[in-house]
Amino acid sequence: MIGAKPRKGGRVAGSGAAATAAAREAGAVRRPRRPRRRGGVFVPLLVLLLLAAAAYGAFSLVTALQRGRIATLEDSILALQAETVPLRFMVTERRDGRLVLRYRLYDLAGEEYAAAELSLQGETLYLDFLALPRGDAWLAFPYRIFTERVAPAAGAPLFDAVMGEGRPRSHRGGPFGEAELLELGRLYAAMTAGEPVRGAFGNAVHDLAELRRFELGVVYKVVARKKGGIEILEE
Amino acid sequence: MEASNLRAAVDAAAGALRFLLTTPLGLGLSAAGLVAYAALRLWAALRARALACKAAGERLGAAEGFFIALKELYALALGLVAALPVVAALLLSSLALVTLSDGLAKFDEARVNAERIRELSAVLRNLEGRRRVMDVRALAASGGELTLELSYYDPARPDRPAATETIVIAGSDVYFDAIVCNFEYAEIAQGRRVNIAIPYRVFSELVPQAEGVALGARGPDGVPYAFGRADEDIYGIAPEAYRARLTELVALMDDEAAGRRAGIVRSVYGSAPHRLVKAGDRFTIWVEQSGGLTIKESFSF
Repeated sequence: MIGAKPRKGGRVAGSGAAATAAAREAGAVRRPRRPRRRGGVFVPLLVLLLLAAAAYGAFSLVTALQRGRIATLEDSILALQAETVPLRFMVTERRDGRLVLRYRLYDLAGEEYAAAELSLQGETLYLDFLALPRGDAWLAFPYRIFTERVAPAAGAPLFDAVMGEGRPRSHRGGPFGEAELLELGRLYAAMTAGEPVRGAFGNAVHDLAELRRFELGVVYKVVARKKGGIEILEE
Repeated sequence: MEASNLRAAVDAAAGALRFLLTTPLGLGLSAAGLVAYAALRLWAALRARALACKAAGERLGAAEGFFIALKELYALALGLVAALPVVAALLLSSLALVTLSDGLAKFDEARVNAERIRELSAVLRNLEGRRRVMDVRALAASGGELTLELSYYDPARPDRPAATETIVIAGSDVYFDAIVCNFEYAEIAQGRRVNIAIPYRVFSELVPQAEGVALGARGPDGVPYAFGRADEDIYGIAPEAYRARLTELVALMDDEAAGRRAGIVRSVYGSAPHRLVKAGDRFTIWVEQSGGLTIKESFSF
């Protein structure tokens, strides 16, 4: 009975839902109030806040772990490129199939502990080192100097210049304590005496007659790398 | 609205909220806004009453003005209390917005960090890498002489030897002399180049280098024989490209100064790794990508 006008008094003819709807339309019957939802807008806001906070916490944790990993990787990369300089030298003269060189030996702190001048028959200079594995790195010990004309065994030994009171002066000024220096000295002596030391090897670096000679008056440095490699670089 | 625009809007709103609610200037501005609002309401109420008084031919007294101001402030406070749920909802929304923005920023940081870790891992892998240069096997030792089998490797095909030869040398401390070319770390780190070594002579503690055993020479194109390949033996790269790259490498080694000027080559020099050798020993000479040659044992029996 939609559209039917209510009579005075508010009663509408007819029955059931249609009558109620008509009465509501006429304003005679008040629409029942919806029960208020508990929490209203706060619950979804709180849920959103908690989710955002959880995501923030999780990503913060991830980024903190990532920062640690990045620092470790950067340290490892720097360690691989780090260089120790046990020896610097300069060829001062080349004449009549002989060469004259001046060399200086350095400890881990970069302090010079020995220097000398040497004359050898030959034109290609070999600087011989012994590499000893220690932990995850290799330590380089000056061994001897020779040329292409001089057999290594007849070269100039550096053992006496390096060793002092049973300890290799080449490894002072670093992380090694007295006991470790004594142990290194014992191993160094064993290597130079030709006794087998597990993992140790030697490496004689030199200039190349075919490609490039050491220039007179130019200072070169011998560089020992963490992984056991030895290089010669111009200073 | 695109995701990037939405993200920008969230970040902008969060930035504004963070500024208004956490910085001294923002807090000052917020407080100043509230004070200005209260002052405007007081002024409007006082003015309305003053106009009414004027229309009635009276004058608004100071005491009356004071009480009107108090009433207005009271109404303001009541209004604030009544609006407390709305204020709380607004604060909660602001907090959620700022947290969401910070979470998204952390997500971006995590993504950038992951990329950085991938790059650094690749750099570390490249720098930590090493290439097999030569396998040495001591076949026999008699009369103060050693018989050695040397197997050379091509950097492009490290899985099997490129060539093998047998030599005899007097002595026990054997030096394996090689030309080494170390490239700049940036080149190695990015994987553009690998350090290379070309073995060329063997001598010992008793035999001077000049009297040692020569291990090979270069071909007419300047490429060491150890790196030479028949076309059918070259996989994964065109033979012309392979030879061109080798020639380029050898040219770099020959003209170290030019290579250094170009920031490509760090050092070219000779290196003779050595060790005491006895019959049955087997070991490998490696060129380390961090620089230089090393000897690492294969096994001994």
